[in-house]
Amino acid sequence: MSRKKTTRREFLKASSAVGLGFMVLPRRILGGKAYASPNEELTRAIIGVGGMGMGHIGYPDGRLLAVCDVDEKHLKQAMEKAGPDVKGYKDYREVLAREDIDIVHIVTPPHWHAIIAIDAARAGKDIWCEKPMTRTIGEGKKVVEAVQRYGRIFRLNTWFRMKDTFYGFGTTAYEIKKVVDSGILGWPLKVNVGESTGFTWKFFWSGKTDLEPQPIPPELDYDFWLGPAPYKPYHPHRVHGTFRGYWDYDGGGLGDMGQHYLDPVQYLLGKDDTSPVEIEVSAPPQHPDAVSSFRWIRLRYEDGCEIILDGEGKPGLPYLEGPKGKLYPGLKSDIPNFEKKLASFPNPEPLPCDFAHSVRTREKFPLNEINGHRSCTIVNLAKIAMQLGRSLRFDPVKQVFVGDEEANRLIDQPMRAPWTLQV
Amino acid sequence: MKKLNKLTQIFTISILLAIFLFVPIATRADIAQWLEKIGSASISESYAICKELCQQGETKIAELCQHIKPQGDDRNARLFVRMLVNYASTQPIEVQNTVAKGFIKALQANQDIQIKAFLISELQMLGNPLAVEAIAEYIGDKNLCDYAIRALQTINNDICFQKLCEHLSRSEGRCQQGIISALAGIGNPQAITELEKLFNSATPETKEVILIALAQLENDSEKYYKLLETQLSADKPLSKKQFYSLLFTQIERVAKQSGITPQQKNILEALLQQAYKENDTGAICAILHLFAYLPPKDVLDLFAREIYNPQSEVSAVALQYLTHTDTKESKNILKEALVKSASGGNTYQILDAVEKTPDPLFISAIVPLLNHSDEKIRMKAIQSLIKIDANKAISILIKRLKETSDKSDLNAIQQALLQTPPKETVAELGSSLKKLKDEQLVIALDILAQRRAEKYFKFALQQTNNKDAKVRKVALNAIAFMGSPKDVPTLIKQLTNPKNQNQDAISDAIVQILKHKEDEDRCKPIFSAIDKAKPEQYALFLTILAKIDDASARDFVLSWLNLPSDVPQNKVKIENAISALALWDNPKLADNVIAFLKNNPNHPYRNDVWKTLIRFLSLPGLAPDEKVWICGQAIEIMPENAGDMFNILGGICSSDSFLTVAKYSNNPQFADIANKTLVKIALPDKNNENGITGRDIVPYLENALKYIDDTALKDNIQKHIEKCKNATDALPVIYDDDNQFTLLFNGNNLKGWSGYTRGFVPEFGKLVCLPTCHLNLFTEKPYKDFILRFEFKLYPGANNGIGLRVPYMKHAAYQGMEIQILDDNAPENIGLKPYQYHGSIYGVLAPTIPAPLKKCGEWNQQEILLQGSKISVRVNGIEILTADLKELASKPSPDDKAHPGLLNEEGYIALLGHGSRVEFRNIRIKQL
Repeated sequence: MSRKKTTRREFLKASSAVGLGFMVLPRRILGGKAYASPNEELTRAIIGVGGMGMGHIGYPDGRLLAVCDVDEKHLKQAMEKAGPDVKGYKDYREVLAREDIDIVHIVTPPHWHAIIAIDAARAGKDIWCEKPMTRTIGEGKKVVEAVQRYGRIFRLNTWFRMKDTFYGFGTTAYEIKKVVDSGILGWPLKVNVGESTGFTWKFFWSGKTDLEPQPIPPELDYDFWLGPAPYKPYHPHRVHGTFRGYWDYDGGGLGDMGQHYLDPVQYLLGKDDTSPVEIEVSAPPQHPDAVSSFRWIRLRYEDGCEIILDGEGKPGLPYLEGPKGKLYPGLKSDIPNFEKKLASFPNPEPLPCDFAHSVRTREKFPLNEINGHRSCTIVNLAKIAMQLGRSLRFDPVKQVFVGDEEANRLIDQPMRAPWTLQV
Repeated sequence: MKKLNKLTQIFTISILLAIFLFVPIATRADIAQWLEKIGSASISESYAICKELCQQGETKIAELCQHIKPQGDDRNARLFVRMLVNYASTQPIEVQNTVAKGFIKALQANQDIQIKAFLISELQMLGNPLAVEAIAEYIGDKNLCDYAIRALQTINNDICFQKLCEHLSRSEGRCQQGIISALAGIGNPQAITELEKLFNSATPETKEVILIALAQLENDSEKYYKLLETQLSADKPLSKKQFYSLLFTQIERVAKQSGITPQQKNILEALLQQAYKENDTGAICAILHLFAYLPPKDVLDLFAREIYNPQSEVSAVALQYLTHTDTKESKNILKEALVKSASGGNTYQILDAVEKTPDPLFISAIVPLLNHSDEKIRMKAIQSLIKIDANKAISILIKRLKETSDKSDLNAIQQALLQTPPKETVAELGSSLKKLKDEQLVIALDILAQRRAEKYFKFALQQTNNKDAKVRKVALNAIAFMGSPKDVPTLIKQLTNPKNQNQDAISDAIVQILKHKEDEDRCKPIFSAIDKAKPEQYALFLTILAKIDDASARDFVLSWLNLPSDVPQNKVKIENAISALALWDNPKLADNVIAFLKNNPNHPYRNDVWKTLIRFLSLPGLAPDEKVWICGQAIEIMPENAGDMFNILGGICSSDSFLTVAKYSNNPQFADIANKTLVKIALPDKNNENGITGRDIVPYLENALKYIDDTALKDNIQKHIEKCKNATDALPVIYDDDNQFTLLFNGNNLKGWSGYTRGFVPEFGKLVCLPTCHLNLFTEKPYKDFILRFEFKLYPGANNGIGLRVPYMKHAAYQGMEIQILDDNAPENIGLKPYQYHGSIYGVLAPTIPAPLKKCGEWNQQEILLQGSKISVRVNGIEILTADLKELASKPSPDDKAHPGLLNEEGYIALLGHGSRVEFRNIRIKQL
């Protein structure tokens, strides 16, 4: 089977063709600050300053002006860490109303990502969003629409397609991309993502089913924290460090690590503008409220490429398996003279990881709303298969399930008033 | 008879009646009680309460809603309602309908606005058709329309859309404006006509809302333009911000159309002049965007001019236009801009644009930029060249390499030359080597090394003696990558040259080259070098062998180790072999070392070899059972050093190690250390993890108490004993073998076996069926009636089998019979036929219960008894199959195949390889 190789340049061209033509909207028109000149300092705000958000305080790419949280304790800690020039807010809409802020970091739990991202896009902000991008596929579609309609620059807070050692490999994903592009493994490829290839699924992010309601601590606006999520009685295990264990907010270890692990897979396979067509699952039946574990989830693309999410930790699996050879963690292969063969192929184009550069030049960030939504879709497909406990077929163009009404109802999920997605 | 029937009938009815009357009274909890409970119920408990409430129907649900109050504490009532919604959303539509009906009843009955709003929000979360109908009733209600409209927009299905459209012309003011925005938010283009119809009769405020909505709906009609124009010429035109945002949304529409009409063009030109005058950058950009949809010939000059606009956002729009246009003219404009800007201007942005519309035409304009004073631009120019023409870039970049000594330039060129076509790059770089200065040479050598350019090995080798330290370092690294096996003799010569300062690097290079050679004879050059070497050079070569670590290297070092120690000339070789083993990183050699110690009880270097054994046991790569086996053997072989081994065993928490140590618990020589070790294995550690439990270990621990003085530890042991007394058995079944059992597998070699011996490898006292093995191993003689006992260890997905009474080399399952060995729990083995699972007589009879297999990686015990026509199978002490073979043979088999082998009176025992790793040990038999 032959394979369409998409270079980054072609991809950007193609993605802008489906979007707003050649256009990049100057921010002034949308009520924001004027275009940042190359030398002007960028400014940013962080929405959500829990454990993860505190980390964003030290991120580069601009001066921090505001932090925001619905938990006063978090807010206080963040303001102490950030220094006296940083203002604190409880309501993110007040942060978005500030015209002097260029970039908004969204570091809330995932059930808030879409609403805040869309509001931020409408307010003319560029967006640095935590993974997983959105909690549902429908929310992801809306975020893509908003970012494009309002001409925003968007990045996700995972970076393994661009830099840093890729889990068990001791190299960057770039080196693996070179192996894939060279074609020496053949096509289609099977990708094993599990313990033995260096990726743990963190099943300790499981929810509990027998929690007795607890009094809401005075510093936390629980109703605001829940936002669009269904109202359920408060228990400390449902919020802050452990929220991932509940379907209302995320999807366990899959939600936590999925996009870190799978975004590079989409990049490696050149699937940045599409999604798998078949999903099979083996998992214990899931509680309607609490996430537990899975044994394995298999996602197959139209051209036969496959991703196996291995939750059992089968030993000795290769990371990539093609008809002509296998690639193991540490960039080892069963192909004779592998390294020597590989040396005769050109290196792929490096992907810069410079968000400030993208914000200034309005050049799409290498991991943006389009490919970010697609890699998050894998996480969401896997979550839905887990929740329903059955195989599914997906139409990657229309982004709906084929012949499964129940599954399609999980693509868009109800939001609690007054929250709604207004692109 | 009839009478009796009637009596029964009456009786039944009265019982039913009693149940009917009694149950509701008894189980129908009062809502007040539930309300009290729900405040402290877990999710599962509240769902149970919700279920009960739903079963009692909508009226009861409406009754619950009455507990929501405009004032006072109604938290539990609201929580109950919300949990009801959460519960219903996990249930079938009937349940959702019941809940909806209850809410609707309450909604209609209640007069309080806030409560009604709350119920509408909850109906929205429910989102079923009944809920939509009910919510729609409030679209026109000026108090509740905000809630109702938002609810319908959020539910966002066809009925919602219809309902909103229906109310559009009927409602007014805020409600109407809300509907308009909601229709825009839903994004269904069917709303366009409805909105256009409404426009003329609308108030000025509503008109604005309509226009924005139409823009969001990507309206594309002429009518829309007219509406827009009307509004622009009205007394009170749109506020500026909204006007621009409308223009922008319009761009999408224009793009889809054939072009801009002359009339529109005139308006736009006038607006542009106005914007220039006001110096309104935002407006200029917006209008330029619209100009982009005019024919290029009309606007190219305009955009060419705007490249030089000092406002970067304006020039960015111009550059984007030119990139997107992608014609010869647009490219010429870009090229000219590149040349002009070189002396100051937005060169970086122009390069970025040029990259996106690649053409060789740009190259001559980019080359001078490689010398630009701004480093960022130089870097960008290098990348641009590659993107435009990677082939042509090679010679340009190499030329630049020769000229520059700037560090970041050199790095950028290096990265770039790894992206260009490798063959051409190597050829061109190779022919330029002589002309390069040291810092340039460093870059070139590194590229050649990464490309494994064997042709330039000699050159790289020369450079290992370069005066410049950096060049030497890179060259030493490069020879490992650029060398091929034919270069090894040259390297060996360098290695043995006493003047050479780089022995370590050269040794590493040899290892690197030979390690990647696909050839069983890869070490041959080393062996022949050793032949010719002086004894003081042996260490150089054995170090290389240790790092290559292939079969021939291991054989070689073991052959030296095993040389007769009483021959004086051998001394130096044996010493070298032991030194090499001391740095060999392959723990599997522990198996060979054990064999050596066993065979050489009086060897002078035993203690040194023992040290290498301890080191091997500390390396990663041995399975726990392998370590345990080694330790067990080592205690027997060198009891004087047994303490080392007990220490290691004490750190391995498994039943395997426990049983190995337990053998010495009453041995006077070892009892003290053995019992202390048993305690260490069995008791949990400081974190209360690990440790083993099981009834079978109780007597051992009780015995161990005698050897412990520490009272605190004694207490802990006592506690653990109590825990073990109640535990289910965690130790392997200990079969009480009598002395009539003989070993079929001796733990060391395949003596007594024949058939496909290549697929079955003895190691660490066990017999391993390799994953590559699809054939069978047979005993050397046939057996008739017997008890066969063995242990086996499965790996995920494992499949194997025990052939019984099989004619030599025949198909076990049919010509003999096969007792299946299988990882029953593997996903690929789900859904097999019952007679295919572990312990079945394959194809003939399923086990009566699933085999109680341990987790993959743990040892299982199995016993097969075959006496006359009687067969039985026990796994981990539990009988899972017993049958009469004659009886089985008299009926057709469930797999519809002939199994004549069931009636064989004798035959061979076979292990049946099936392409997966399975390990066996302690295979023993007692003939009956």
